[in-house]
Amino acid sequence: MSGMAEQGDLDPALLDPTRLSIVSLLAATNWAEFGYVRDSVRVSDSALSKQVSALDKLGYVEVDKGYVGKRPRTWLNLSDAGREALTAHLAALQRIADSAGQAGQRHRAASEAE
Amino acid sequence: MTGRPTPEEAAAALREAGDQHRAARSQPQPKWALVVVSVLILALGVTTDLDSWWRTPVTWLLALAVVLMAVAARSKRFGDLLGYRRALSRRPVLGAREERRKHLLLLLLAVLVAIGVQFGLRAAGVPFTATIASVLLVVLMVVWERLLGRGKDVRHG
Repeated sequence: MSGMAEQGDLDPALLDPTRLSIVSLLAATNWAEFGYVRDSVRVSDSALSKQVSALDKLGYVEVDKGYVGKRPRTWLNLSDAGREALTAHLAALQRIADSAGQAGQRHRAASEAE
Repeated sequence: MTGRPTPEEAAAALREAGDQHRAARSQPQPKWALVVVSVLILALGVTTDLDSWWRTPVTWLLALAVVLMAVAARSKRFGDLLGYRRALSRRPVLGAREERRKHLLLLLLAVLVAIGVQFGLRAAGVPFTATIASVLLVVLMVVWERLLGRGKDVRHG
């Protein structure tokens, strides 16, 4: 796999650790409540709102606002596009992480040959 | 991490993603739900042994609790009212078929062990077999809950 191809699969939007945490959490849930995501990812309301807006614009996250009784609620869900982007991004990260191990093996083999 | 991540950064990002994924999977429902079902199963065992009038209402309550947790909690709003901070996933990480098979296998194992113990104890002349079996079933449920909470690593999803 070339470096270009590895780079191609990485999603620039998901290189931000907070966004990656949000979509990873949402990948295991279905319509998670805003407060649950905020507490799990350990960010402030405003920081989460900002990241969710960005992900919403990309079409990675669906946002639904409503009420439970008189309490306002916001729910978040990972869209199919978001799920595909996450899968491709994680696969690319895995290849990059694996490449370190392969490079190490090649280096060891070269040292042993000398 | 703004450009191409280094292998160390990639590994750290994968770990963080995996942690978030596992954390979301490890608490699929509020603790009170497990407590309510456990109490109702124990009550069913006791009322069965005592041959009490309460056995039928307790059975209906148990069925209602299971339906609430299995069906109603999938709704965002109703789930929120019940104390679920997220609707239960309709898109399981393991894949729908594998997830169903795992649920059914564990449920079958728990029920078979509980029934087997009840019949075994009854044959041995031990009193309160239904109560003992219900205690065993509750213990198995807790183990079952933990097993189901263990999701696969996010990159396999």
